[in-house]
Amino acid sequence: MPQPMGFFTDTTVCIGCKACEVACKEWNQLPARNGGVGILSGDSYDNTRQLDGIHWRHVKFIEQFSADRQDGRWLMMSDVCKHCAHAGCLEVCPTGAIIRTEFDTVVIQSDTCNGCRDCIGACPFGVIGVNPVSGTPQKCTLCYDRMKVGLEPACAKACPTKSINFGPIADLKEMARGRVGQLREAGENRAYLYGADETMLGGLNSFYLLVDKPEVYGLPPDPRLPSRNLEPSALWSTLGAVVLSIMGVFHFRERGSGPGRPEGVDV
Amino acid sequence: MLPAKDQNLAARKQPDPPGVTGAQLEWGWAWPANRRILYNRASADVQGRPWSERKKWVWWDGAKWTGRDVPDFAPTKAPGSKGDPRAIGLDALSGSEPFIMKPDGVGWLYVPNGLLDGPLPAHYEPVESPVTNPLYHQQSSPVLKHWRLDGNVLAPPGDPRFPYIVTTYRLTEHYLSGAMSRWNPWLTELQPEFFVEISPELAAEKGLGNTDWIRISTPRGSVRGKALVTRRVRPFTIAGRVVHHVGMPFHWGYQGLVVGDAANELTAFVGDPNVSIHEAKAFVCNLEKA
Amino acid sequence: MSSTFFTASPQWRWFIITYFFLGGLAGGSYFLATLMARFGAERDRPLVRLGYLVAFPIVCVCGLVLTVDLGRPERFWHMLVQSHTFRPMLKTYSPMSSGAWVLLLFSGCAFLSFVATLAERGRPDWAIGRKLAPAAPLGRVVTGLGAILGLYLAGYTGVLLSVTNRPIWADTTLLGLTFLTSAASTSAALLILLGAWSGLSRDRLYRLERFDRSALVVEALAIAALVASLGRIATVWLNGWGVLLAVMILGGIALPLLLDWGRPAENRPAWIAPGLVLIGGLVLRMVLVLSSDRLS
Repeated sequence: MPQPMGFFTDTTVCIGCKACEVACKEWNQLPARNGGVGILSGDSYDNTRQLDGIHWRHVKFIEQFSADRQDGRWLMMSDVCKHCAHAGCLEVCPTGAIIRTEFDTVVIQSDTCNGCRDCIGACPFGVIGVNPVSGTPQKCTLCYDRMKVGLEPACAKACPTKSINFGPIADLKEMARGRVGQLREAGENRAYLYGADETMLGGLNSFYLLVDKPEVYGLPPDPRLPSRNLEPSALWSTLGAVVLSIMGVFHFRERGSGPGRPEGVDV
Repeated sequence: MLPAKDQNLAARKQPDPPGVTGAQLEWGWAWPANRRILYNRASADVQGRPWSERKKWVWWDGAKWTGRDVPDFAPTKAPGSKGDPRAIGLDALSGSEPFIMKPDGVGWLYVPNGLLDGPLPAHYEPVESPVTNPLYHQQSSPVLKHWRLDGNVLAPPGDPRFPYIVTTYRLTEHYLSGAMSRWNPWLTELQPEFFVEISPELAAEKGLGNTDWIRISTPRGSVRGKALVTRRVRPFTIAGRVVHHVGMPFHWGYQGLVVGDAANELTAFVGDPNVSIHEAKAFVCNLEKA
Repeated sequence: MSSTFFTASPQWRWFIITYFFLGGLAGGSYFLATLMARFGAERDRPLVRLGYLVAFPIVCVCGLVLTVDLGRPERFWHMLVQSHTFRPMLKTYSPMSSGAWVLLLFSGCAFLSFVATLAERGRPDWAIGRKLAPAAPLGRVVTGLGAILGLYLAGYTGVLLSVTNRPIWADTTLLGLTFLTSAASTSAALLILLGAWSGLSRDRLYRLERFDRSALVVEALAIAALVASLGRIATVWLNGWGVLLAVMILGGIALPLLLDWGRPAENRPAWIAPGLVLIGGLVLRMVLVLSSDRLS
């Protein structure tokens, strides 16, 4: 019986092995950037740099060490599409290519998409990019093809530390709350869940356990839907249209005959 | 380890509860019988009582061997039992002979053949070191192997021409010398270039910026790679002076989708006296902008 | 830091900038032509004809440019018809979706008025053309509808930019208003230019020039409001983009206004001020689109 499914990613046990990145590329047959010939980014151990059309999982490395090295940690986080309960990408897609599946995940149907790229700008997390193979935006499908036959996503299967947990959302939330409690009890008071409750876009079906502010992980502190701007923008534009129309009537209406005044102050 | 079709004991990830001193018996599987410490009968005395209450591990409960670990001993052989000199295998050993894979069941400190050093650990500096041995007059192992080959020159201890410690290590994304992984685009895009990790303090000293090309040299030769400046590398303070160290992965070579210099060109042909393990993890170098 | 700085760029660049500019011109020209036809005098007929003659070709280029920008241009129709079910595809809450339909319907109106204008002069001599003349009942419906659709076309693209999460675009709700006012000033400028080149006398262009001046003032106010609405985020323009924007405001709005109030109309060429306004309109859209594109 299909029910909401997704990921709970516990970043505190991520070891930065990138098995998730490679498993995802292998399952989805995504090409490497520039044929696999790249340059060192210089950004810790992260040479992938961002999620895009050919990178649907991206492991981030954040080094936090004090100058005297008395305090320090190396944060690692496997970033992915958040499969928002209220998805910005789905909102704006004009072809109906982006749909919500029976598992409450968000999928781009690549045969319908015509590459307008509105979804790329609409995603609050910058998850989507163009895959040059299809010429259209692509992103994590939460392995919809695998889930339909009862398998878990490739990244969850590959993760050796169970940082990536896959399952029914309700179960994941319970697991996550337990884990936060365990961490806090052990003294890690910075641990919290990002996207696990409905205040963030209705809840993220791929939510995280973090130990620092979202911005530290490159996550937006307050992600919102594009439609928040729809009504106000439409109202201002309508006001503008009314003003211009009145102005037009005023300027062009015929007030008595005779040639137009060659110069003069506007009434 | 795979007792039933859907049971993989090696994949278990159940740790001991916090505060419990255990052998983590439910975390993975130590083949063949999940014993975590070999010869653990030796943790109990001749009567089968733990040598130390704090460090107790395996003991005799009157009827059998029990404890925190899986006993590495015949389960019901009493501590005081005598071995049968005419028997075969473990039956020839007594109840207080824990080294059950040795023919006489006891551990040896001195051996007639095999080990060239020992029997007890000592501290030796690597054959190349920026410091003198603080414990002994003997700087490095007197019986280490040093192959006499052209170019296999060693820097004397504290050589000012090569003041930095250098080590080599692995990355997750490549495998061994990279001869296979450097042809896989999914792996090469994760780690494309040979780099050298240096501390910000050393970078500042040498005027190096992150991803600058640098040249690392040792008495054997030099390689060129990109600097990865990181606070994960921390300068040592040894006997009052700052000693820098640098580290580099050894996965690159001259062929592949991505190529780079091979870190192991810098090492010396020096090996451990018993099994010739290459001393590739601790030697000295110098570096500058390339 | 505004959450908009954690997003990825859709990489809408020159094809889309051109679309925004031309869409404003097409919609604005049609709107102005309809205004003049409805409320103006017989003397304005040449400008009305000009407006209806240029709107259709321009909107065709709009459709072309939009299609070419797609990652899969051959699938442009997917925005109008669902590719699996073949039913009409419309999301009223997605500006891209509603805009695609408005573009289509406006093109229809533009085409009909284009044919009507050609038929006015008897080339071709179609009866249907005369039925679609702005004064005729059917023509009134078509031009009235087209004018409204034209305004939508001119302004919705700004709303489209705001209904994303991109920096600058999604940090304000005044982009639609800005594009609309810019469309008004640039299409008036276009019609003035075309009118002057087709030999119309100055007194015929006078009221359009007057409208253009008012439109420029409203546009300047809209841009000021836009910058104010961005608040701290406007600091992303403390660089070349800001300079370009300032140059646009000075050269594309202030200067034309100054020129128009300078010397008597008969003594100055009619094309300088409108030319500056048109270039300004293009530069404005370039700055608004590309300055966000460059971020994150």
